[in-house]
Amino acid sequence: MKILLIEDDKNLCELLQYQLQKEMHQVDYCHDGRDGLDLFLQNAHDLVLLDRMLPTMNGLLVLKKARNAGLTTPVILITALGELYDRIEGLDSGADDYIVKPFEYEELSARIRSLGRRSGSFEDNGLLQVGDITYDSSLRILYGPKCELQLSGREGLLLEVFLRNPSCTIKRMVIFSKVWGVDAPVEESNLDTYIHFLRKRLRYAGSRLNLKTIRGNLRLPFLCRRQYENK
Amino acid sequence: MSIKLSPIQNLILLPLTKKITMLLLANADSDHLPMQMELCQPDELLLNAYEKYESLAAKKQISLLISLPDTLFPDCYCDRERIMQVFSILLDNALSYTPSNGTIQLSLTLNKAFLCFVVSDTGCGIAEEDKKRIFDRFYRSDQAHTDKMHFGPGLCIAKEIVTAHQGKICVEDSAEGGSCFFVELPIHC
Repeated sequence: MKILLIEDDKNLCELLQYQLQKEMHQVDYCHDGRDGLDLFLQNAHDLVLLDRMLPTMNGLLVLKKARNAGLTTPVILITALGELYDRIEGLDSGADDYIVKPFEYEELSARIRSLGRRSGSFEDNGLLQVGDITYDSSLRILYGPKCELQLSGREGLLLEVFLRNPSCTIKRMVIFSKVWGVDAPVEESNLDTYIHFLRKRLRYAGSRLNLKTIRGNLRLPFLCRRQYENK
Repeated sequence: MSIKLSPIQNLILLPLTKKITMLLLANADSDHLPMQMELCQPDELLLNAYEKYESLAAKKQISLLISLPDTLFPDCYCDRERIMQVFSILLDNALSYTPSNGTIQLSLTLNKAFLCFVVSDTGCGIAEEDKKRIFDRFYRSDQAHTDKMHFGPGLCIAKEIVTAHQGKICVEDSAEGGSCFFVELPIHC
């Protein structure tokens, strides 16, 4: 899972990053509110861990601006402000969960898993099924009508973007940020190369799914199983 | 005051990576290179190597390109980690010897019963007299080069791994004046 960590305590940030990466999460991080909002608005993450007391822009304002922009990414507020009023204010501002410092990492990890089960935006068993394909994200294996194929790391991330958003038109920059990360030092044209690779994979696997380009953005049209069977 | 160390004392004092490399070579000498074989898709192997070095190449302002076939090639039966190690050795070398604004290209072709992985660069190239010897243990092709990180047993290790897979590795000049390394592995029948 891709996690955005917005925390001004650099020691805590480094520790959380280490623990999250041990659990195979990809972590982007920053230490102030304005940078955090910029990263948040790129809509490239599955989850945001947000401190409340941040320089340049406090965490609640970051959260409110992101929600006003239409982003529904799950957010866990991480803060030393633990009074009842603080927790209510945080949750009413749009947070999905609230954890008070100091905390044990295992509790944060459990809350992350809990959010995943509730939102459905990331699967516990790693299996995504759309149309005539199933993708195992933990093993990076694509199962199609004709055969199963092993995908590379980026191919897998790219396919996941579309499988988690079937029949949605997704902007190129959003796809790029989700797959390569924000501020990646590579060119955006790499995305075209990988779209080409992914189209080939779907063809090899015998799938009738195909990535469509719509005014420069991309979509994976999805038919329900009955529509596939009747075709 | 200088002290002469025994071979065991020398081994203990080596950095860990060098110890692992020495042990690998020692095992290869004894025909016991530990391997875990599995069926692998060759294009996925090469693509993973490309992805591993993509950011580093970009930071060094080197174009890292990959060309994969339009058709699905047969699988190869290999030790995934060891083959990735071979690609890493070749890419490390290519990145070391290719200047900024240069190009490194990865490609994959099928040559009868062999899969051919190619790593070519626009670097300084390798002198004809050195081409046969660069896979020898501890051979240095450029005596004036002071960066010891990029010499030593890397290409020898790569050759040992490829040989253990009943494959072949060699180097030629690339069209752009740099080097072109070929790794051939048998397809799985």
